[in-house]
Amino acid sequence: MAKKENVFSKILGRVSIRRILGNSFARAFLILGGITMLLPLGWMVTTALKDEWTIQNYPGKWKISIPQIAVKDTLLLDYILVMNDELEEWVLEDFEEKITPWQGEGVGLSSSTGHTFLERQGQQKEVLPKVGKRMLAIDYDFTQNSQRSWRRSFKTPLRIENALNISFWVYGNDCGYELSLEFIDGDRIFSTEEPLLVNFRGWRKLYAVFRPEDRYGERVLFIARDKSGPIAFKPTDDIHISPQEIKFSFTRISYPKVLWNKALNNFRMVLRSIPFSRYYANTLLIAFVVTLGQVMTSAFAAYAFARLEFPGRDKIFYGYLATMMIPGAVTMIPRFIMVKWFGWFDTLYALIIPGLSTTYGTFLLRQFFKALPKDLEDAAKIDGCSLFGIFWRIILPLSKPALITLAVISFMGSWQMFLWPLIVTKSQEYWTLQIGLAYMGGRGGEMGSQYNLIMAGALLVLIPQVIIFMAAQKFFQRGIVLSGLKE
Amino acid sequence: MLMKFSKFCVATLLLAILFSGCADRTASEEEGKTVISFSAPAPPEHRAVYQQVLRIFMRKHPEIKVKFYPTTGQNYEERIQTEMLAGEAPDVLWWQDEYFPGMVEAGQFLDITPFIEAENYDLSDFFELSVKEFGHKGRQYGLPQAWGASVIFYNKDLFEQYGIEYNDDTWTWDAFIDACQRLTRDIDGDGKIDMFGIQANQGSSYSFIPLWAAGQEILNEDKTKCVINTPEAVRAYRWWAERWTKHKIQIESFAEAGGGVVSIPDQAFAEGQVGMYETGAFFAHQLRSFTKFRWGIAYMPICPYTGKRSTRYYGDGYGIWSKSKHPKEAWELLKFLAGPVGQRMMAQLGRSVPARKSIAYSKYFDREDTSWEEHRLVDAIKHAHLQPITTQFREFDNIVGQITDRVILTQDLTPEEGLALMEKEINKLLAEGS
Repeated sequence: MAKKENVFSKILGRVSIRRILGNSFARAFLILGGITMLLPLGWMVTTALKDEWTIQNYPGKWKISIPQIAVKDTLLLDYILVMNDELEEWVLEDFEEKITPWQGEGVGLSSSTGHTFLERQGQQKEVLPKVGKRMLAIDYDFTQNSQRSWRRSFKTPLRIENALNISFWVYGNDCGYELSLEFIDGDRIFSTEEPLLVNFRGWRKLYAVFRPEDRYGERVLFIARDKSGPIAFKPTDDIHISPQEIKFSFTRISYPKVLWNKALNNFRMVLRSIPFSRYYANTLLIAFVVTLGQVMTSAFAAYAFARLEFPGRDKIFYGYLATMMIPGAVTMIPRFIMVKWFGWFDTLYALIIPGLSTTYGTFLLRQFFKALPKDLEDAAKIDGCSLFGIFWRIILPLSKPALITLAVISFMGSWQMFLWPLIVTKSQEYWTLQIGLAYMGGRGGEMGSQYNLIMAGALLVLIPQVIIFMAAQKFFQRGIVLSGLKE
Repeated sequence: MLMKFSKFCVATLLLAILFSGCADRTASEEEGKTVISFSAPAPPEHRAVYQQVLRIFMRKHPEIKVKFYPTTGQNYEERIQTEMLAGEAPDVLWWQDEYFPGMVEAGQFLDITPFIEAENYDLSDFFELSVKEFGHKGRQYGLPQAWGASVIFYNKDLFEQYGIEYNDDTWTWDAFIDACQRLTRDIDGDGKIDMFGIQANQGSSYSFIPLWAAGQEILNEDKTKCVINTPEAVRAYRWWAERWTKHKIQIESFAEAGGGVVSIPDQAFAEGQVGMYETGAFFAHQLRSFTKFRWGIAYMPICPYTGKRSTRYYGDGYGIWSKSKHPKEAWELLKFLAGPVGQRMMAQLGRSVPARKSIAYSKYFDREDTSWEEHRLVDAIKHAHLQPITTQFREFDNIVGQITDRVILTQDLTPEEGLALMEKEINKLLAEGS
């Protein structure tokens, strides 16, 4: 006991309390600072996981809403509409059995001054889109069975050859069940490719599309597929319309799956609304080729400027350096005109070739090469190494840290390039991720205010950059040890 | 390591060549067809609808192929202008009314009057103002697509809660101010006002709304002179400015709507922090799945001296690029986009009122499955005014904006001085222009 006390007091004696306090204060300060810096990223990640309902609340909340477990509820469907390919539409009202306003269990409807209210036990009163005179309510009790369905036949002037989509309003209660739809026309059955997840809150209009030629963009949440193959368009004078039927069925899914779906929901929406994979491929290709090109051309040029002797070398270099001082916006139009001359407008060439060289990189590497000890090269020369050999075997391996730094900077630069790709490309097939993101959140777009989707997209864009940075970390650290010789 | 690296280089280069090789394939795909291009800022959720309309068009005109270039909404004008300079602009393009005369003067839009006359194309189904805004000096340069008018969205629940009657047909300026004052409250009792009567725009054309109601025009008939400095105009402008300076019924900035940066400017209304919101018709569409309170659409209040009301009209449409190599085919597409199918598409998107009366008053726009009364947005046309758009609208807008800021924010100008200065500056601008 006495010994221990001794040790303890010894330590205390050596390290004053003031110092301990000072140290821990400094540490706490740094950690706090670090956390503060991470807050925007944290906000971004949590927002990417939030649903539309949560982000519309003001002031913003950090909390992510967790779905409830579906046990007993009422599914509300309203205004089922069919549309033909001339964009004419009809409300399905000729049901054999009339849909009536309803009173579900624990759910109430009331109306005043042209509005209908929905009241649920323990929840705020909500306003429904117009008077729910065509509202369909299906009570479900998932403790009894895990699937419910509803099937009705109707008549519209819609001919299946011309059908474009079916749309309807669904009231989601964030319980996470799956909804699937079948459309029966005579002996043809169309069914949804994958079930729709009702994991949102409030009213939302959903579409099932008969012609999935263009999946991106439309607020398509699921696609109706004909089991007997694609629909052929046949112009016909036949007025006969086969009996049509619609079937909704909803299934309870396990709670872990509900959570999983909820977490991935925004990412799925992003991938559905824009051709993200195409943008990804373009951006990856551009970033890799441009990085490679920049490192190669810069290394060659820098070696020439640092080591080769030729008349006017430094003057040329300063001229070269001067181009760095001109803002990019000034050279934008001449560059654009050049690209047009070469016939590269609206191709990937326009995005890659003008980016293959960089003054900044040349400058960076020249300075680095200059700092390398000349004795190494002399030694190689004495051993009979050629000029290119010296460059390739001595200079390059020694300047790995500089090369990697340049590579990372080039990669980031080309990954984040926005204005140039926006100007030189017209077709969406050559767009990059940055334009894709801007397109998603652009003026007039409904997604412009859906920050959860934008954040989800931004997170997907961020990932490769983080990976590259982490991979390059190793080289940054080794850089100091590498120079090998003292002068 | 270096061997690996060089192998990687070769592989990537090969890949690059392979990928970029794809570029030329699409061009030669359709032979025997006239290929025309079309550009519009179509956000992701509108793109498919546009594409559907174009598919129908191509089915009806098998000899034409339309290449559609949906673009980002940001920098649309700059982008198209660059493309025009480079000779790469699309044959048919979407355009906004504000920058239209400038582009017509620059000779970038094709005069479509000959087409209209040759076919006797019927323009009577379009709203008059919509056709007028795409005309310039008696010639027609484009067809309208959609329009909107500024209206007042009001929170019915709040009005009911504070016992304020919204009698839309008789509301005058005074009644309006009175209601705003009764809605401006300190709810939590901390001495700071946390609910305001109205959230309004300070934009130039918003300040003109009361002037129009007072029977005042901004520019003279041939848009060569500003005629703003009259006693009637001053009275109207003073009333408008006093909403900020005297009555303090406006939520002043978006930041005040709740502290910090409010990224969605419509939040204050949605959170019930203002009773009314003066904005464009497009806001109705943003509220489409809004369920927190009941809201309605009202018109701007009536000027007590003239008994009239007014509002601001804004619109967009399509034009043909003057250097298009296929003006005939472009005209076909233009007609189709402004025709019933294209108009049904606009109604579908629901953000603005279709330019055709037959569609605007049909079930496609006045929809059953939405909770608001679209026909009120359409009826606003009865008292809507075209903005005083000239070729220098950007500069014009700047002048009005700066003077308005001095009148209502820094308050170093009285409304009288403000209008006098505005007239002087605008006349200077117009003189420079001609």
